[in-house]
Amino acid sequence: MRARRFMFTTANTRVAGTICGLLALVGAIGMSGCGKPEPKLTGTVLVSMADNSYSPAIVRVPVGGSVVFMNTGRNDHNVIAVDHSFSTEKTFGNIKMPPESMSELVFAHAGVFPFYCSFHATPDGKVGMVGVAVVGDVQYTPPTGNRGVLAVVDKATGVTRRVPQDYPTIQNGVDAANPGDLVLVDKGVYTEAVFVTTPSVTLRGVDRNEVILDGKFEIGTGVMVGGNGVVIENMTARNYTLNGFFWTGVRGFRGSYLTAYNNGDYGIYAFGSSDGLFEHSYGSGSPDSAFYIGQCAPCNVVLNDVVGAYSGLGYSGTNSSGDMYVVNSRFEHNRTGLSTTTFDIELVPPGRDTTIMGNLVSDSGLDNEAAGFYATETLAGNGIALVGTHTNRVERNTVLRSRNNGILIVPILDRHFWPSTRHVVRNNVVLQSGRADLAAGGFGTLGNCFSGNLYRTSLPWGLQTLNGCEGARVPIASDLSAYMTFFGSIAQIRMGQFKLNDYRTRPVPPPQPNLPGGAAAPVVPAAHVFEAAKPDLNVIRTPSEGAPIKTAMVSLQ
Amino acid sequence: MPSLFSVSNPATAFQWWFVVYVYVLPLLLYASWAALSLMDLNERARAGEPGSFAWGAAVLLFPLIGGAAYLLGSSRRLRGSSRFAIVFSGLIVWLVPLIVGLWLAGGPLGPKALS
Repeated sequence: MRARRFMFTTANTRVAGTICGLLALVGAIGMSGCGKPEPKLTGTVLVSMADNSYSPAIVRVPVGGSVVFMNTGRNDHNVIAVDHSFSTEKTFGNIKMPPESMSELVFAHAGVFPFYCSFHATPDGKVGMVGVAVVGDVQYTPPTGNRGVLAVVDKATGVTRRVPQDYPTIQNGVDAANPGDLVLVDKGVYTEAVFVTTPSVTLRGVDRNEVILDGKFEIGTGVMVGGNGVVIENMTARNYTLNGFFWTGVRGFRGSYLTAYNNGDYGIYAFGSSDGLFEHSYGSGSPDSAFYIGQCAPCNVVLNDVVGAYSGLGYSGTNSSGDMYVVNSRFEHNRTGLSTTTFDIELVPPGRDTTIMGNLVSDSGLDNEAAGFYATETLAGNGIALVGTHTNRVERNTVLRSRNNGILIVPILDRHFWPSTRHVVRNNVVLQSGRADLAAGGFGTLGNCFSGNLYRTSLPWGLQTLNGCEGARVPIASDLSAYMTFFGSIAQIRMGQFKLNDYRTRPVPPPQPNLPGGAAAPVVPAAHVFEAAKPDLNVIRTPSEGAPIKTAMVSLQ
Repeated sequence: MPSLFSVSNPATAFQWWFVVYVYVLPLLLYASWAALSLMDLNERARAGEPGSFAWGAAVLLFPLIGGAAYLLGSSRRLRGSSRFAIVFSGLIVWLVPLIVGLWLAGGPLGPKALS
């Protein structure tokens, strides 16, 4: 197997960025195709590595042909053969391929070669960011149906597998479990990366604060789940270089009474997954977001009574659309409190139809204690940011002390231009923002309405007065001032003029409440989660600072 | 009501740069080109020349483009060299720093995490 290595020069990308920036300024017309230049390679097949999937995932090449892998996402990725016969670590020279890097693999022999990203998939190449290279004229039938042969179950089996009493490691316990089993983890610090591929398993700690998965800043993800219906509850994941708890490509998931802190990417994270619930959980110290829901439509996902703190974003939803609820939660001391975002690097854009209600968002970007990375820095200082998304409902939230804007609506320029439109911002309390309590910026920010909000300042002036949710609205509903801060921030970042806080040294959270009932709580696999967890929006109230967050969900226990 | 020309916090040099060259300066150019064009059009109207109303509407309704088009193509009272100087020096003062700023802001930003 022969290998070559490619890398874009920053100059090409910079020219494209400048041109696209100018186009964006003169009207955001014809933005399709703007962004990074496409590689011009012949005789090869190009596979994009997005966040977090290969596209196409199954690629056919002739014997002697090659596949060029290009990282089009914003995370580091790689390509590792399941049989370890090839890897981009060898061809690229580093286990991490950063965004916009490329590496070519040449296949000299016929056969079927499954591969995976070691950061975002299980090493067996079955779950997460996985793909297959079919070389030559060989038969290949893609696997169909659910992963493996095990089916999802609605009811617990009553079987409890204890770690470390019955199984020395959590992974051993999980591997032995059947659908519907409980894997019960005793107090202790476990330095493991756990992969759960069996559906409907419940992984539970006996004590949320004393069952700790610790990555020691060397291991990628604490628990990665690729099986449907898996529940994780009552434990802590800390010090992982990527994620604390991560569900990928599943239907049915639940994370309850979890704590994830000082992990290098996300705290508690579901990607390409639907029908799920994160509740009563705490995430902090993540450079990206404490809680993240990515790439789902419809999502059918609820975040209820969670706390996101000291992170780039308290909550981030990218291309997460349809029956997506973020309610009754607290987001404090983050670079940005919470955001809904559209990016071309994930599938099913644009993000839309998220309900953000009854949350307390405070001190966003205020004290510079949060972790962060370049993208969160461009948004820093905003309480709630709706970035290139559509038809979100932002209602009955309290947003206090944002360094720049309390609630901000702006478009985004990725590979396409995504305007931010038709949001309803109603009955929020938005005060003490450094720049404006309500702000709408950029081109195409149209059709948004503001009613009943308690606020003091807006950009442009008269935003609520002239753009009410009832009656006529004026067409001038945004200005450029908020938009310009993105350009300023990006230039600042590129010139190295801002300080990133190291996620490894963010504040350790105080002890958090345990799962009621603890080890003896009923075992409920994550089936039909959304049906039971969908909040009754009528009972959600605007929170006040200092008051406990009132939860409105029906307990699943 | 905050200032329309406020900048993000922290108000670094780059924040001011983009506020000035993307936001404030285009407004000033619009105002100055429109003012010069309307003064010229006013004299045309007094002289009974046709087309003043249409040009006036174009100058006001098509920011920058209307004023620049009138000054370069149809102004009668100002000398040609003055009109070109007004338009092109304005464009240079606006666009050169803007392009430099966008150049600095373009391109990849680096790794995602510190790990």
